[in-house]
Amino acid sequence: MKKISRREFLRGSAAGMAVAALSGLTGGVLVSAEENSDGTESLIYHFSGSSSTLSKWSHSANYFVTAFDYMVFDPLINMDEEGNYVPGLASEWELFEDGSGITLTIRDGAYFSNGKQVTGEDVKFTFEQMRDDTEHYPDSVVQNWCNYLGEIEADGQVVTLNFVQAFPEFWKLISAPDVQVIPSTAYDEQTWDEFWAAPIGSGAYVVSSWDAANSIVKVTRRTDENGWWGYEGYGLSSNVKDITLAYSTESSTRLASLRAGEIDLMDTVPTSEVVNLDNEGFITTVTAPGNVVFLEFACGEEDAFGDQNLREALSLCIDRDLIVEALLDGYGYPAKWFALEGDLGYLSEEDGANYYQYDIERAKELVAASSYDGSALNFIYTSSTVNIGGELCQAIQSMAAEVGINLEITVLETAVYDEARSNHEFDLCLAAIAKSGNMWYKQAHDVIGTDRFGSGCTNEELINLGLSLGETSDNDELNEILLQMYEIQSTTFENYINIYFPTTVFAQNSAVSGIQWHNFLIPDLSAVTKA
Amino acid sequence: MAKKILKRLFLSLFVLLGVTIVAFVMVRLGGGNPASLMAGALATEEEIADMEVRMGLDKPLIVQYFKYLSGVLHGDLGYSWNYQMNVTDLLAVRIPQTLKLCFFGFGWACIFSIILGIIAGIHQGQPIDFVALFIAIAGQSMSIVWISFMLILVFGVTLKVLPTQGIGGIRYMLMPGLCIGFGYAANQTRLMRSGMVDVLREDYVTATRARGVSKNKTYFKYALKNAILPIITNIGSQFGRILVGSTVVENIFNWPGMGQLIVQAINMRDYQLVQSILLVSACMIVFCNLLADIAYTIIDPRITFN
Amino acid sequence: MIVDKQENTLDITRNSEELLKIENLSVEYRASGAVAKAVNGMNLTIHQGEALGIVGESGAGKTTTALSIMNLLPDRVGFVTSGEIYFHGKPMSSMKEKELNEIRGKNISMVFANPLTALNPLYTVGHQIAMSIIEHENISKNEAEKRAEKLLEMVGIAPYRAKNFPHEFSGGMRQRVGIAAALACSPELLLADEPTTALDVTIQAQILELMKNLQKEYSTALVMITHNLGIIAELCQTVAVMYGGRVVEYGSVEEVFTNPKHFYTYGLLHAIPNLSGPRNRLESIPGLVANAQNLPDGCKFHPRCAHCTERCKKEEPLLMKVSENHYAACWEMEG
Repeated sequence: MKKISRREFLRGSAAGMAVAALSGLTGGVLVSAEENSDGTESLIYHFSGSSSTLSKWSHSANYFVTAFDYMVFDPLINMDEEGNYVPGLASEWELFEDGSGITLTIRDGAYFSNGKQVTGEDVKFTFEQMRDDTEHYPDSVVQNWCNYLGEIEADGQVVTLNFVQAFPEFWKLISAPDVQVIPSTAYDEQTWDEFWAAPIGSGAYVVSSWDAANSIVKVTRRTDENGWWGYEGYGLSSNVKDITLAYSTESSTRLASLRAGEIDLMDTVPTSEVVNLDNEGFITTVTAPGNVVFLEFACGEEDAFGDQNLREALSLCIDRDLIVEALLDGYGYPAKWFALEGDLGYLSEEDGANYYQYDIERAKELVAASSYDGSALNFIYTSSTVNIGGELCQAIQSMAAEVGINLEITVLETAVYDEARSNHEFDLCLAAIAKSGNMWYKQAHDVIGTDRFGSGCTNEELINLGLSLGETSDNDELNEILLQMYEIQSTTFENYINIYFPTTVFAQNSAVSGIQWHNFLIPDLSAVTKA
Repeated sequence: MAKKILKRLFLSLFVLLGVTIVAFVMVRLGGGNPASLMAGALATEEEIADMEVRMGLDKPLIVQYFKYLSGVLHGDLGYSWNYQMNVTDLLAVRIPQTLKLCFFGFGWACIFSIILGIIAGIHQGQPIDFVALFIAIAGQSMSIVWISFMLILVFGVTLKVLPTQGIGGIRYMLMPGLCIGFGYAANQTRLMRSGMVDVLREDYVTATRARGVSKNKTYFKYALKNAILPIITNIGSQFGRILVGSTVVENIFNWPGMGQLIVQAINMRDYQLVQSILLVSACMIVFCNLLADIAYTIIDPRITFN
Repeated sequence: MIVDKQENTLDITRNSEELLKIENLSVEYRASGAVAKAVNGMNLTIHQGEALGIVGESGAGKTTTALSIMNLLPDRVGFVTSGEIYFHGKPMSSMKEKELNEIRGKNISMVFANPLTALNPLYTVGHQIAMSIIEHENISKNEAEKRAEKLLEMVGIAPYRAKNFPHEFSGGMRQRVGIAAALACSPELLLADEPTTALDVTIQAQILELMKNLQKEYSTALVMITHNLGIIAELCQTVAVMYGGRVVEYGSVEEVFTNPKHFYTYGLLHAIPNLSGPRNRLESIPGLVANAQNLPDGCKFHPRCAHCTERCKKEEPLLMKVSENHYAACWEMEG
C-alpha cells in the first residue's frame, strides 16, 4: 500500500470496509440485534506505547487510552470515516448563533454498564469534573476545558454547555470519545482512583482487569440486561467477547508476535515491512495524518535564520517528495501547503496558493544573497519526535549542505530538548505537532501566536493573527484567519516550514474484520468480528 | 562469623547511603524539568510552576533529598508521577519479574560455563577445548540485541515453538533467559577453563593422584574446589552486569521487569522512580557480593572474613 | 665426609626379590614444538627393603623417573618413548588405570619436593592423610580419620592438629604430613623426591631421622632422590648417579663414594668442601648441565670432561662392571 488519499483508499478498501457505503458510517456487518451473539472470541491488540491510567485527561493523552475509550465509552458526537459529524450519545445538537454555547440532546435507550440510563445529568457531571477538578486533571489540554467552560445546565436528556470565551478547538475535543462520559454517581461510593481502575461507561465493553504497572487492560463484553445501544443504533454486531490491550515497545517484537499469531492487531508498523505483511495475508490500514512534521526556525533579529533569504533557501533545498518516498516508503504526504484538503485554511495551487517549491539553484542564489556567513548552525531534534528522526535530520543536513547551509545536528533527550527549545538555544529544530479536528490549530496558535517554543519571531502581524485564532469558534472566521496567516508564511517562511504529514500503518490478522475508522485516526474495536 | 557479617552489613549501609546521594544528584544533572514533562508540551509557565509545587520540586534540594531519604527509611520509596503509583507498589510488581529472569539466565549460564570450563580445562588443546573457546569468544562478541531478534525470528515466528514475547510460564522465560546469560556464560567459561588449567598444574593435584585417587574424582572433586574460587568472586561481580543486561532483553521481549521501567523513568525524569530503582539495584548487588564473599570464606580456609 | 659403614646390605638386597625394574626407559617432554629428552635409556633395579639414592644435578631426569614410575607424567606433555617399568615383574604399561590406581598410594607412594605446594590448601591435613586409606581400604570415615591422627603422631605432630589446614603449618611440618600421607597404607616402595631440599638444615636432619626410622619399621623400599650426597651417605645403601637422563654410575654407597669411577661422580664428590684441613679453592665441574633439548652425541658428559677422547664424543658408553657392587659408564675409567 503506497501513499493514497482517503478517497482512493475507500475505493480500494480491503475486506470489512466494503460495507461502508451501506451503513454510511461503519465497516460493520449489517445484522439485527437479535442475531447479535454474546461472543466467544478474544482479541489481543498491541500498541507501541503504554499508559499509566485509563483516565484520558489525567495524564498526557495517548493512543492507547483513546482506543480503549471506544470500547468502554461512547462519543457524544461521532465521526464517520470521512470526518463528518454524526450522532453518538447525542442524537441532536445545536450550536448557539454567536458560538457561545451548545445544546445537546442525549438519546434515549443508552445505558451505562451498571444499569443507569445516560441522561443530561451525567454529561453535566462529566464536564463539571473536567472544569473543576484541578487535582486529577493537571494536563493543560483539560485545563483548556476549564478555561472555556462556564455554566452547564441539564434538563432531562438535554444538556447545555455555556462557554466563557471563544472555543476554537471545541469540535475536535467533543467528537469521538474524547470526552469520557461517566455516570453522575461515579464518585458516590468510590474514590477517583478506585473508579478509574475499572471505569464505567456506556460502551460495549467493561473492564475486567487493569494492570497499571504493566499497562495491560482487559475488557469483556458487557452482560447487563440493557447491553450496548450501539449494536442497534449503528446496526452492528460482534462475536468478540474479550479484548486485551497491551504494549510492546520494540516494533520488531510486535511484528514477530503478529506473524507468530500471538497478537491480532498492532499499530505503528515499520513502513518497510508493510509490503511484506500484505504479501503474507495480513490487512494493513493506512491512517490519516494526525500530525505534521516541521522545522522551526530561531528567527529573532540576532539569529542566522532571522534572515528571510536563508529561510526561503532552506525550504527550497529540501526535496520533500524524496523524503517521503525514500525515508517513509511513501507513507506520508509531502507538505506543499500548511493544510491538507478538507482542512481549514486549505488552498489549492490553482486558487493562488504559493506552494513549497524545490529549486536548488534558486536556493543557492538566496544563500549567497543572505547575510549568512557559513558558520555551523545548531540543528536539534529528539528521537521521540519522529521515529526516523536521525535519518531525516541527516537527509536535511546533506540537502542543506548542497546549497551551502552548514547544519550541525545535535540529538537531545526529550527533557533536555524541551528545555533547549523554550530557552531559544537552537538555530533549527525538528518538531511535530498534532492536528485539532480539521485544522492545524496548535501550530498556528501556539507555535506562532504565543511563540511557545522560543523562536523569537518578530512578525507582529503574523503573531497577532495567530493569537486571534483563540478568540473565535466560528469555522468561517477561523478559515479566514488561517488563510491570511498561510499567505504571509508562504512568502516570509516564518517561523516554521512544514516537511510532511506522516501517516501510520496499522496491521491486523485477516481473521479480524469490522474495525471502524473514525476519520481514519484511531481504530474503533467496539464491534469487530473474528473468523 | 555472624558478628563479622553484621558488621559488614552495617558498613554496606554507608555504601547504600552513598548510592542514594549519587543517584539523587546524577538524575538531576541530566537537565530537563520533570514538571514540564508531566504538564505536557503545551503547558504555560504558570501551569508548570503549579506542577512543580505539586511535585515538591520547588523546595530546596536538601529538603527534597531528606524527604526522600526519610521516606525510604520508612519503607516508602517515593511516588512515580509518570506511572501515578507509589514506587513501592510499582517495584513490588516489577522487581520479582526481573529477578526471576535474571536468576534463570544466571543459573543456566553459571552451570553451563562451569561444566564446559572444567571439561575444556581438563582436555586442554583438544577439540572440546576449541569448542569452549569458540563459544566464549562468540558469546562475548555477539550483540545481545542481535541474538534476541534472531531467536525471536527462528523460534517464535518461523518454527512457532516458543512465544515471541511477554510473560507466562517457563516457555516465556527460555529465550530472554538465554539472551541474558549469554555474555556471562562466555566470560565465565574462559575463567573456569583457565582456572582449571592452572590448578591442574599444581603439585597437589599430582600428589592426589599419587595417593590412588581416580582421575575423575581428582578433577571433579578436589581440583574443582580449588578452581572454583575465582569463579565465586566472578559471580558476585558479574551479577550486576546481568542486572544491567536485563534492561535490553526486557525491552525487546516485553518482559515487565525493572529494566523496562528504568529506561522510561530516565526519559521522563521520574526522579523518585530512578532513585529508588538505583537504590534497589545497589542493594541487590551489595547483597550478592556479600554472599559471594561468605561462600569464598567457607570454601577457602586461608581467607578469613573481613 | 664420613661414609657410614653400614652392613653391606647390598648382598642382602641382591638376594631379596626385585621390586621394581626400570629397563631402558626413555621419556620425552614435548611442548610447543620443543622436545626435551629427560630420560634416555635408563636402567635401574630396586629390591625389597632397599634404600636407593638417586643423585644428580637439577635437570638430570630424577623427578621424571619418579613420575614415570607412578605413571603420573603430565598429560599430553610427557611421553614414554621406549623401555618398560616392571613392578613385581609385571610390566606397568600393560596395566589399566584401575589397577594403577590400586598401586598408587598403596604399593608405591611418593613424597614431593615442595611441601608448600604439595598439599591441597582447601582440605585438612587429616583428610589428606586419610585420602589413600579411604581409597584403598574399606573402612569407615571415622576409622580412617583415627588412623590419620595416629600417623600424625608417628611423624611427630600432635594428633589434634588433624583438623588444621596446611597453611597453618610450617614447611617442615608440612613435609612430615606429606610423609605421613605417603606411608598411610604402608607401601612397599616409597619415592622421596628431594624431600628436604626446601627445608632448612636442622629440620632436614629431623626429617631424615624420621625417614630412617620409618623405613626400618615398615621395611619399605626407599628411593631417595636428591642432589645432596650427604643425605645419601646417611640414608642409603645403594646409589645411582644420573646425568643427562641416564645412570652413569651405580653401586653401593661405600664403593661409589670412596672409589668413584665416572668423572662426573668424581667431580661431585670433590665439589664438597672440607670442614677440616687446609683451606683450598672450591673445586667445581666446568661447563653447564646438559640441556635436555639439545643433548650432545656420544657420552653426554663429554663436553665437561677433562678426560674426553674422540671415542667419548661419538659413542655413548654403557654401564660397565667395575666390581661386584660397582658399575660405571665411562670409556676412560681409571684403572
